[in-house]
Amino acid sequence: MNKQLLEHYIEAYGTDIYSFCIRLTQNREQAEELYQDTFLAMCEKEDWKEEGNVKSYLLGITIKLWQNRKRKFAWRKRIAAEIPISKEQGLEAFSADENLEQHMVSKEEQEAVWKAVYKLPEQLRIVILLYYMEDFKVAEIAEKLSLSISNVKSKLMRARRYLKQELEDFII
Amino acid sequence: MKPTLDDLLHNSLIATDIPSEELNERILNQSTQKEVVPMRKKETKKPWKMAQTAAAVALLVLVTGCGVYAAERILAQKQIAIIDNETEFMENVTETTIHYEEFSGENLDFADSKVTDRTEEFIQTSDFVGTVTEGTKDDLWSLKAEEKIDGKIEVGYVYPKLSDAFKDQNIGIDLSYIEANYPTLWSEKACQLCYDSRDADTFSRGAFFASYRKGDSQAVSIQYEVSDITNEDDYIFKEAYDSTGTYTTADGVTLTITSQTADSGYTITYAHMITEYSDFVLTLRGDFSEEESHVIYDSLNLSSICETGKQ
Repeated sequence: MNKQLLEHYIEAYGTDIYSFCIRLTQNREQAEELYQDTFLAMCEKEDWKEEGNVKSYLLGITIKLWQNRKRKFAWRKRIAAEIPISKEQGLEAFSADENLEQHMVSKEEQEAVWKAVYKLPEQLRIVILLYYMEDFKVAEIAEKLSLSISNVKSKLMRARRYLKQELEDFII
Repeated sequence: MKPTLDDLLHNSLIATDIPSEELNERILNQSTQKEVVPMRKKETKKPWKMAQTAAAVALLVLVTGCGVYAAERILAQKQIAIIDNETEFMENVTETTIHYEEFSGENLDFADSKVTDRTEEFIQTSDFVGTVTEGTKDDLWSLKAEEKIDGKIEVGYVYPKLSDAFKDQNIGIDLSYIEANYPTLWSEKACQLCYDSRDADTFSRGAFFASYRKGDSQAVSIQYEVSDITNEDDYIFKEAYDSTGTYTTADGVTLTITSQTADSGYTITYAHMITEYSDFVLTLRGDFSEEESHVIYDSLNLSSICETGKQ
């Protein structure tokens, strides 16, 4: 893959992939590493041809890399304390181009949502992020995570049940 | 007016984190270097070698400089209770490991081709950098994968049979009944050990894995992992399964038995034995009578890997 094409993909999907990395890892250093490795893994594909949804393809790489890395993190039991991203930056940054619909969600609500999502076990959090943040269909999530559709539905159901309890003050 | 949960999640979980220009520049620079020096050496491999390599890589458990787990340490471990209630757990959710079963059993597909597809995909996205060598006739192992991380050499082995690995490592789990009665290896037969250094004679982390099958209707999978990470905060949720219970083997080890029914009508049964620092999971997929399951559990000599039971 040439540099111009890579630049184009970073421009087009960088924010989406980086946001996903941040929310998945909850750690800026790990997120940057994961983000970087995602694009580099894409570069390594010798016979790269743009087919289908590139963002979906990139997220697939991110997930695989993270799942692989998680094993390492778990086994290595890192000594350095990892600061959760929510504490690190306080979730204050709103994008300049947020739309009207997003304005309807208050900062308090958004913080509560992220706080609740971060409390979810990773297996549930990743499904929630793909479904709500990346707008993946259940079948796409199943494919990306190598799970059955019923398993993804079950995870979504569990996660929603928990989030509903946590966010009961903010929803109908 | 308050939104619905779906609306609140859709409108709150949005991508707003922008990567720094410096980070993007770093990627672009590294991508140029990678065109000259590929991360992985590409080799033409026979399909079976691909599968074995992938198995070695996929199961490559990584080593820290922490304690060494010799057979004596394994024997000293106590069993711990793990079944819990999801609702109660969620009220105090932490970073605890949760045992959900990832394979829902929608289809019980015994075809080897699916395994190959996944392993190739794994190779493409793995960040494994190292060498893979084949064992000689004097070795019990057939394949070895080495990787250097943080100055340590981490070594993973693939054995043709899981019993060879147990024999090599003085682990007393008895697979003779399973290997005699469920002879066909279903997926990548692999087990993998890691050492702090290549000269060490005891593993510091171990992951053992194998699957067997009889015909197209029965499969038995075994997974045994030892590490220095405590399992005391682990849970298996009752609600995640159709049924949960326990079974005490003839040698006195209590197994947590959970099961799910697949859409195909087959039952998937998991027998967990979790100790302070190790996990043993035996999975039965297909048509197994209760009696047949008990024969398998009793044949394993699980008391050899924990304190509980008759030694």
